[in-house]
Amino acid sequence: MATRTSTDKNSARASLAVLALAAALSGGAASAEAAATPPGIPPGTDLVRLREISADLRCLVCQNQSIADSHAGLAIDLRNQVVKLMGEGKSDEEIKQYMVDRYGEFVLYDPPFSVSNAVLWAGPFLLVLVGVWVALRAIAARAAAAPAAQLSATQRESLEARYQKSANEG
Amino acid sequence: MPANLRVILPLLVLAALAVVFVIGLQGDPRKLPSVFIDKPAPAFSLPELAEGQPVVTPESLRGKVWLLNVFASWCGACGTEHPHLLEVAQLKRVEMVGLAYKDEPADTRAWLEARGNPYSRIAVDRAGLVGIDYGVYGVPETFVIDAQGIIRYKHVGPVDQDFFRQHVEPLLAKGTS
Repeated sequence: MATRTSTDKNSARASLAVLALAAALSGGAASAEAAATPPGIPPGTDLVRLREISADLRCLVCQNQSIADSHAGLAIDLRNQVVKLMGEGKSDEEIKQYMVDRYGEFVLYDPPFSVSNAVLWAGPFLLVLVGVWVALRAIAARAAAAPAAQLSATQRESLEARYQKSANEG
Repeated sequence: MPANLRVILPLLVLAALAVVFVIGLQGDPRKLPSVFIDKPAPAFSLPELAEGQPVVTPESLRGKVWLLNVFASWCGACGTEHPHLLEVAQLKRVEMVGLAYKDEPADTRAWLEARGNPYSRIAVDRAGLVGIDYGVYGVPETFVIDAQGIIRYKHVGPVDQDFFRQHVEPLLAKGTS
């Protein structure tokens, strides 16, 4: 979970770095910044930080999009609110708390571990442990119940006789 | 493991999962537990839709049970619940305040003229910022606020005919006793 989030952030950082580089090459970072700034967001906003914060906030109307990716009216309002709080010097934690105070923990894509969501966090690991336990038991039971198949003496003689016969004929 | 248990066990697991999923499908994933229940109604001060009226604030409604109904002329489901709001208004037992959410005042007026106005006061929240303070994510939403200014219930989506009896009347009864 943690690694996924940090990779996302790194890739967001990387893509913005590429944008900035392209802007510098094409002459004038200011003009390109204006082009990259979504409408309604004041110039000079730390877009990387805005992207990082809003990527962690769920759009309440379109529940499988973050407010960074969504164009729904409420998502835009909430993103503007993030910009405003950033401008007031609020920390990332304070901004996320602002959203949680209004919309509940559901608004976070990476909610902190708590009693109410412990099953979700621990469930997959418990299931893997149960699976390993079942598999080990099944293997042990099979090994104990079925020793390697043995031919009886008569079966062996009959097989050998047939083999000899076919070898002679061939 | 006996052979018949081997056959029956997966079926039992499947049946149990089916029950869990059917129960899960009954709920509406858009309905979220509100963080506002039993919390004070956030303060705001908004212009009244009718010109020349004083601003609308929760403090001015302190001392009585009131409803805050978030609506908009662009909201389809608001038309669905509107007859029920008019019924509640006719009872004259509770003050109903409208929050015109992200709507043009002219559109709000025309919409109410066509359908009837159940509200005693209408606060105009054009920017939707008060909506954010109230955690509004799906219009219509209705908050039931008690005489102490505490939010006691929040309804997301259109209210039905049982809304008043189930969620407002108990509070009114408590207030008079």
